[in-house]
Amino acid sequence: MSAVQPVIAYALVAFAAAWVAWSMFVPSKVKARLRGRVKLKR
Amino acid sequence: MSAEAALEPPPPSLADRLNPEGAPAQPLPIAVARLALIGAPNCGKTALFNALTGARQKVANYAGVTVERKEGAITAADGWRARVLDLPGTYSLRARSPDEVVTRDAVLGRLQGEAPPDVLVCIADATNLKGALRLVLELKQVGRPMVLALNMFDIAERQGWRIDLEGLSRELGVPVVTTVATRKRGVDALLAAVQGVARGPAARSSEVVWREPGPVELRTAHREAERIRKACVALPARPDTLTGKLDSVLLHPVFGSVILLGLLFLMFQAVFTWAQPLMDLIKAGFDHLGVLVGQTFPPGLLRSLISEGVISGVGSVLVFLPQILILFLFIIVLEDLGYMARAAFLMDRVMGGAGLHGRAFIPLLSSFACAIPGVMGARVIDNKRDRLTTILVAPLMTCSARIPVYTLIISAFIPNRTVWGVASLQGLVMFGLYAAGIVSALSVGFVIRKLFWRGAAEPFLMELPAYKLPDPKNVLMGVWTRAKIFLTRAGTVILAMMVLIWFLSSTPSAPPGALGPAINYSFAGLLGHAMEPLLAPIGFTWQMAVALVPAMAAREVAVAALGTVYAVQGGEDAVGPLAGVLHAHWSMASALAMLAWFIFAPQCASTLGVVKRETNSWKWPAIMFAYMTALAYAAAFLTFHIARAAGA
Repeated sequence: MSAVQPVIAYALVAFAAAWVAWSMFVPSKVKARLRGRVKLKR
Repeated sequence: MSAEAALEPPPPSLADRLNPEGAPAQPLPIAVARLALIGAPNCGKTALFNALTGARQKVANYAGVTVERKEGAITAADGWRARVLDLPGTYSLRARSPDEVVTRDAVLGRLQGEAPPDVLVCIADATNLKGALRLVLELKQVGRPMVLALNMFDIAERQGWRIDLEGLSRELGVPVVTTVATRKRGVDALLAAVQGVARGPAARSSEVVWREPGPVELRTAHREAERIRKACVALPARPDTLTGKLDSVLLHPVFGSVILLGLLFLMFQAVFTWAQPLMDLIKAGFDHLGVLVGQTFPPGLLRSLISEGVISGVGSVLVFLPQILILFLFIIVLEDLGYMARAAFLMDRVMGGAGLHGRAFIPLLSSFACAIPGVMGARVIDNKRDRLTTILVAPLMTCSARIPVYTLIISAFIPNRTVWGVASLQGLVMFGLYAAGIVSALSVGFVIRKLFWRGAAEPFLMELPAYKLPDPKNVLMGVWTRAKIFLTRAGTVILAMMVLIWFLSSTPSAPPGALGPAINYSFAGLLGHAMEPLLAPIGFTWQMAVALVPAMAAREVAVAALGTVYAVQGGEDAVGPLAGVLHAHWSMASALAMLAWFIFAPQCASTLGVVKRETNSWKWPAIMFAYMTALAYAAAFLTFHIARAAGA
């Protein structure tokens, strides 16, 4: 468990950083376009 | 909307889809009709929209709540489907303010990529048909199928209004139905009438015709509306005398103002006294969770992240949920009663003296919840300079994100004692902070309008709604919506920020043989110490500096960040509730300076983003950021030095 703890903790930190960057710094127009493209590919 | 979608031609109208060759109309249940809800402000459009679609858009008993088009979907029992547009209130298609332009353009099919609505549903307050009939006559000129819904019909019946529904339908040439939107009464009849006209002969014409009427046409329409009203509507047998009696007291220049101040005073007292048991319960829950995590996880990084980052950070914000909900319970009940429009009337003289437009009251009132709806709500103001002034001062009103910051510092530094026998001192300080927000908004408005944009004050006309008993369902829904917003923020932006703050506060670890707490050597410690020289003149410590950076995402993040930073820092003083920790680390002067900072500081990136969107320029958010930061620094500087000179 002790060996796994840093891996999980830093993975959560990386996820949180990516989420904050996505929600705060990516313009909503870019997000809408990216979401649209994802939808089209389906 | 994507650029690709914007280039597509507008979708064909329902009439074209049902009858492409002009054949007689036949019911085709799979077609999707587009309905537009139109009516005067505060006639119940959004309540009807919610009743039709099951949506939970905000409704309140005053004009100007809806400032943009909202869309929902309905499916009738027979499979008939429709998209419903809820539009901002208007008395006419002769649009003046940005919200009225949205309604006019939606009705006339001028919005990019949107066909005109297939059916217009004109909604009228059944107790106030005079203006509504003029709008119906104007909408008839548009040439789209239409249904008239007489809403709030229960109140009209109670007051004894006698309305000849068949005669009204015959005179206007449109089906007339009665509804009570808040109780979902008459919705089926309305849908049946809408389906009837959608399949009728008027639906076959997809052409929309309207031109702005001249003065002669306006007078003619006014006379025609009066004639129809006199022919079909008899005055009530039991007129609403209660509203008049209450208004004689509540709108009195002296008694009315005293009652308004008294209500605000009561509200902030309740926020502090009623919330305490629930806050203690939430606090105990988080303490228990912390113990559980300590027992479950062995010492290590993950345990530190959960207990010091998540539980200490997010938990320190979540304990303020009861206070926020009590505040909104008061505001929603007063809105539903119809009192807020009276408060706007009472405040008009003060706001006019400060150079603010009377209609700015509603956006400023919305800013008590959050500056974002406040900035958007300024669309109800037609004059561009008045609108910009309102947008620039709206973030100075005390939004709910400030409540955790204020409450934390007040509970840490202001003694919990009773003054004058009845009032809580902490509640009085909170009242003072709200008053400071209002006074600063009025003062900045005054400076902008009297020094930079001089101009004559425009008259303010606002229809005062009748008093109504608050609808318990609407009140509970409103409080639940606020709880959901707060919990969502705690579970998303605040949680993510706290994980990052924990990382920055615990990495890198202290070098071997280091003196002092490990956090001093972390990224957060380095950042805080780098900012310290800039913030030391206003009495801020490096921990406070660290809290201000993530608080740009949302103000309440400052509280969570302080919780995490002091938890990671550890030591004897960091044990126990965060308020106690702050009391041990901060001076009274620093705490007061922090309060002064948060009255003015533009600690909200979302608000700046919305100001950019509403003004279509980066110039105004930049000006807002600069003036608010300057005011925050000056206020904190003065507060800190005056408090220190006074021995605090």
